[in-house]
Amino acid sequence: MKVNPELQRNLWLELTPLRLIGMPAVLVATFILIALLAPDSRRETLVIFSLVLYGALVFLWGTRQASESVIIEVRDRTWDGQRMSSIGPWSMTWGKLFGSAVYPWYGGLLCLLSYAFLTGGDPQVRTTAVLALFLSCGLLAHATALLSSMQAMIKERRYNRSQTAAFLMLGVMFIWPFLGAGLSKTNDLEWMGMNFRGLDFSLMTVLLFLFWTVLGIYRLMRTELQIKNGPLVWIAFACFLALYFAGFQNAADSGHRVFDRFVTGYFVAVLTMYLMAVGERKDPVAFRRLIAAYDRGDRMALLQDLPCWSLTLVPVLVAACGTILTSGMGGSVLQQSPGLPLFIVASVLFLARDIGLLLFLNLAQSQKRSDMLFLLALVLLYGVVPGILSAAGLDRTTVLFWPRWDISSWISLGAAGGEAVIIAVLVRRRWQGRYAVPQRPLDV
Amino acid sequence: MLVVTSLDFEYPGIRALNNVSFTVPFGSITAIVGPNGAGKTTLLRCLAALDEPLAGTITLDSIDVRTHPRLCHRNIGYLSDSFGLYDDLTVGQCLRYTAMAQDLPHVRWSDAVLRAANRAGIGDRLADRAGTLSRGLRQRLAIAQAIIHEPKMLLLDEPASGLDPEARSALAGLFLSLRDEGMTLLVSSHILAELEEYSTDMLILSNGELVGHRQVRSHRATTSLIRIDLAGPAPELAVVLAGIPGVTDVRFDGLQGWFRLSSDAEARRVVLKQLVDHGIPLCAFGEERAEMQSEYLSVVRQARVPGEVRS
Repeated sequence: MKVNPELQRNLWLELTPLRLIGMPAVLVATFILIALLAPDSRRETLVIFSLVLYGALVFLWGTRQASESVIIEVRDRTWDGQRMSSIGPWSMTWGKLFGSAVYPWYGGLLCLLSYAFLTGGDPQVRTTAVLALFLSCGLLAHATALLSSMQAMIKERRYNRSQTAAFLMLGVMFIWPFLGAGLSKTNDLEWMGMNFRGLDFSLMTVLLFLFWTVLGIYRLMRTELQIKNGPLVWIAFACFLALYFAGFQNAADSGHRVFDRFVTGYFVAVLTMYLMAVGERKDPVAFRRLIAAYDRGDRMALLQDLPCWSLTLVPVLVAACGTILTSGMGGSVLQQSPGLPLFIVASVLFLARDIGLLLFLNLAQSQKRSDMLFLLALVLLYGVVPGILSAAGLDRTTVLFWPRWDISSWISLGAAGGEAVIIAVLVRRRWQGRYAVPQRPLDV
Repeated sequence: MLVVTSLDFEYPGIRALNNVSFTVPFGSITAIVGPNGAGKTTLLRCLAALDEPLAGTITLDSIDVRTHPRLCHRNIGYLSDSFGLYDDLTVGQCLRYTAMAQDLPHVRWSDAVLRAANRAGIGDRLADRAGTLSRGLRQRLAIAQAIIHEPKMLLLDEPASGLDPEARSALAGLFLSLRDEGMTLLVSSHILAELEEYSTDMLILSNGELVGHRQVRSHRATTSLIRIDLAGPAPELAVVLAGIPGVTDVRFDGLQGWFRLSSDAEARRVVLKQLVDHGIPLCAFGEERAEMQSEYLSVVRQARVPGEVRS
């Protein structure tokens, strides 16, 4: 059998004989203590604590381990050695995902065994489904933390302890709603017109997101190993996100329902575009590579090098067109608004303005904190300044900052278009001044 | 054969490598030299397919490194100037892990570990934890990891930095033995005296451009580089040297001059006599021991003069 080198290395480091004995010893001692402290409800308490300990081991400790699995390699300067090896992107993905948290998994599985033993014959508890949910949530938390840490590492190659804490929180926060919905006994819901029990829907959702997250790690591993990725997977993921959230719109009237789904899909796609635009690296050299590919007509290279945020424009535009086309099909207030098509077009132009602003900031001499500055600019443009104007009785002037479907949309459209053009000119100027002709290095 | 053609690499707003082209034949040890910031590490990282160049091609044994980086990694070993080791693993585990990571067949792992460890001179340290090794031994372990899969090409970035003279000498011996076993080495270093010991070729980078590509060792068996120092200007010196049979590769730098000459003593006596007879104001005449250094300094100074024609 072929051994995964990453898994093997982690097994050597993590599963020493002493640690293999230590984990069950600590768990057994903890269970005995809990049993002694709650003599009246021993079984119920142990059931709860099995899951709590599992959460502490797998969701907290394991997620932290997973989030550090690649960035620690970068910090310790062993990552280049791994990139130079023959380990493929898929082996690297699952080797890191399982290997980094193998010890927390060891303890966590012991906790789940105890849960299964305690609830096995109970007809009130869907033991298998709960076990599957906890296992998949553990994997999803780890995968989310690893994915986000890799994305951050590709953006900026440095190790930061506070970043690790952020990835840990991100991983845990991501699974929290699914765990909550899964364990709730009353939380049945409707998705795409179908009714699901909370636990079943949570499990299905977690598995779907796990698939996409692991696929995301695999693609980032490919990038790190200098293997190019095509554009279709990202577009498919953005469409999946839009469809997933649109599925919660289940109005009784079919015209209304379809419109609501397009609107939801549109806003989810726009949000995805913003998130990726901030999360991805805005590398001027990559832009030069894109321009070079365009100049020589190399369509494949162009598609492979396009940043994910720009590819998200595909679902954004599809959903925008869908929203406009279905605007007359139902009876909601928004649907009946005559200015809706212009509102959608204006919002796309405001999106272009914002992305232009982000690029403008990232093409500055120093790119440090450019993204933070951009987020601050968004708060000003979409919150503080329109808020001040509204409070000052100048509500109509807010169309200069964000799209308004209830105020004359032509003005909004003109403002958005004008601002987008101005930003585009500024971006072009900055590009020409700083990056179009690179300087030569100076020998020391 | 490693062939690099029109290689460009950029950092944001800065062109770190500009139109770099060269060929490295198999079985050579090529020194990559240049001032700080000249692009040596960037070049090695591009050759190792760790960084993606903006333009140009790199082929190793007819395989395009840019389009098939993983395939090339099987034939390339790379030692970074800031390499890291898994300090909690033993030397044996580090090497075994690398053997696995390089996809060597299971049955070859033990042999490969032993062979690489012995070649690097750490065969007796297999049970030691990597974190407990000295600087020199860590360097050897890193080299053993880089060669465990028997790559055709070994790229080394400042391999001797931080090593004591004895360890450097041992390292030079190791590089020569690897070359003798058929490996091709590209070594970037600032320590030209150390490179003198084993290099066969020299690539000189300056300002991100290749300003010199010289054979070093092939001359040495039969000829010597002679250096002359003058007490004052001698405009006729070039003409005089050109007229002496056996004198080649003449170059000047102020009141110093260099030329290549047959290694035997009689040839030197004849040249010295001719120079004295022509009234050249000589104040020193002898073999240049630091050939690479002299050549390097000369080429880099020329490269920095605007409009100077580079050889």
